[in-house]
Amino acid sequence: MSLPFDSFIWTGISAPIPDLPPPTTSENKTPGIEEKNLLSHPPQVPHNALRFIVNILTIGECSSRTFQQSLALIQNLSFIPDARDVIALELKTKAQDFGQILYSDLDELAVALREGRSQIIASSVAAKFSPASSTQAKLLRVLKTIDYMYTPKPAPITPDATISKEDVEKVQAIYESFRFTPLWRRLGDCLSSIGENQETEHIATVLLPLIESLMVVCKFVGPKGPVSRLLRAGTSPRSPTTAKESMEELFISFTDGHRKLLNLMVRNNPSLMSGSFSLLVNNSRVLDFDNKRNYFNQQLHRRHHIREHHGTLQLNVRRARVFEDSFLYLQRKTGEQIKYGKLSVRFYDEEGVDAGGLTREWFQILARQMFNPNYALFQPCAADKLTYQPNKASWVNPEHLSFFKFVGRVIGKAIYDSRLLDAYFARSLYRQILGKPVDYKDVEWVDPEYYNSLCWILENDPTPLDLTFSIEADEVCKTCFICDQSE
Amino acid sequence: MTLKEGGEQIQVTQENKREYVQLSAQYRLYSSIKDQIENLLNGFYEIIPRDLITIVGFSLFNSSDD
Repeated sequence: MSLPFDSFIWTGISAPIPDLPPPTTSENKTPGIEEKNLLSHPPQVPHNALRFIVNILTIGECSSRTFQQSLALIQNLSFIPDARDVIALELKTKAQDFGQILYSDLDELAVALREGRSQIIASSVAAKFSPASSTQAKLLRVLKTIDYMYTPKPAPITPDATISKEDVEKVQAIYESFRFTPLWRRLGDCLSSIGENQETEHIATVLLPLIESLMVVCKFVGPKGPVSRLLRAGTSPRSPTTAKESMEELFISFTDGHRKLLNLMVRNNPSLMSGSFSLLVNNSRVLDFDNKRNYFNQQLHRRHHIREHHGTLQLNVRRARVFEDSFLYLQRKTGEQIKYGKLSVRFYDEEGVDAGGLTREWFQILARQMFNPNYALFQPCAADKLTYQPNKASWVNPEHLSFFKFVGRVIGKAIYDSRLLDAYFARSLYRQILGKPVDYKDVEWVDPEYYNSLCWILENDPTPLDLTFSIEADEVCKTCFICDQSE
Repeated sequence: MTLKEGGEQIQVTQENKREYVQLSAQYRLYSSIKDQIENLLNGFYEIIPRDLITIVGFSLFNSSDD
């Protein structure tokens, strides 16, 4: 159903308002004279007419098309001075009303859940939470609208369209003014009861709009939520918490506490992660491996259309020299070309069209040849001789640094194309790829002897050893590649 | 080769030995092969965005834990 909003919104407006072009196209061209005149003499829209717009979102159900059109309308009207603030205030009032209603609805549901009164649960869920016209659906629409109003729209011409600090503060102030903490606590209670009983797990999905609402409100929680919390706890545990900090607290404790249900929901509906649930990556430890991985792949391939422009990476390689031939070919390509290009491999002097099998073989051979001691690029780790670590003395190969970059690209390409690269590296190298700090325990894998001496120092008083904070020169050479040449 | 500024003048004692162990490990696992690692990382990040990789963690490489 689409509401005849054209007629009722414009009622009472004296001068007809010409349609403003949609925001995305208007930013692509220089403003015409007409547009300039319009902006210097904005039309007068009575405030109560502006407030009516919010009714579209809150009166009944609202199809996604109507919702989109209303957002565009609000966006266009926001060019008129004050209009945005008037609409925002109205949205805020509505949100607060809905919060009140939802609080008592949740209260009722929580009691029913706790006492296991299935009939009340069922009727409450069916009547109050499920319909598209339910209060929670309306609240989510209102919050999404506020979010939309204060989020800069992507415009290809102006890449610096970052959200202004002023807008962040405005929208944060709005969210804080709701005083929704008791509401979220009730929601948490309900989810906890739901999670205890497998039979009621499906109800969690019914409460999705409320959970999404919480995510919208927590939008400005930084990715370092738990870290900053720990730091605070360490320095001054009694420090007065700001509104932003309590928002962080809410987000972290909510996502930690309902981790199981949240993962279940994401698993059943992975597209949630491209919407409001994407905030979960700010507390990524709560996400289960499969959900993390799905999100990763989703994000990684988001710009899939680019692949078309980059065509095919046609590799013609000699079987015995796959590593070198591929290196020489890919060295001339940019990272983008390698990332988005489709690999097509031909082995020199061999028949065969690459329908995927030859590419698989290519990765297999690369995974072996990159560790060939003659290239001197890697050395096997002492612990298992199967995982590898960059070789300190790789400089004997004059092109070693370009080769390392090539290896990095190959690892990345294998991940991007979901290919198996049967090559394994020391944990410390993975740690570096992930941007994590070095852990001395990882030394054990690479150099157990050295690790033992570090452990000895930790367990004993090192003073008699007369050590200084320096490394002997011959120690640097001790582990050079010549040791590996003997294998 | 010093582990920190003026390191050859600083004795390793009970008090600072943890720092010494951390810096030695850092040297053994990173600083001594810094150019190699940085080039490998540069190539890798051309294909896989850095901010995305931190979300999946070790599991991406089929390693045992997080």
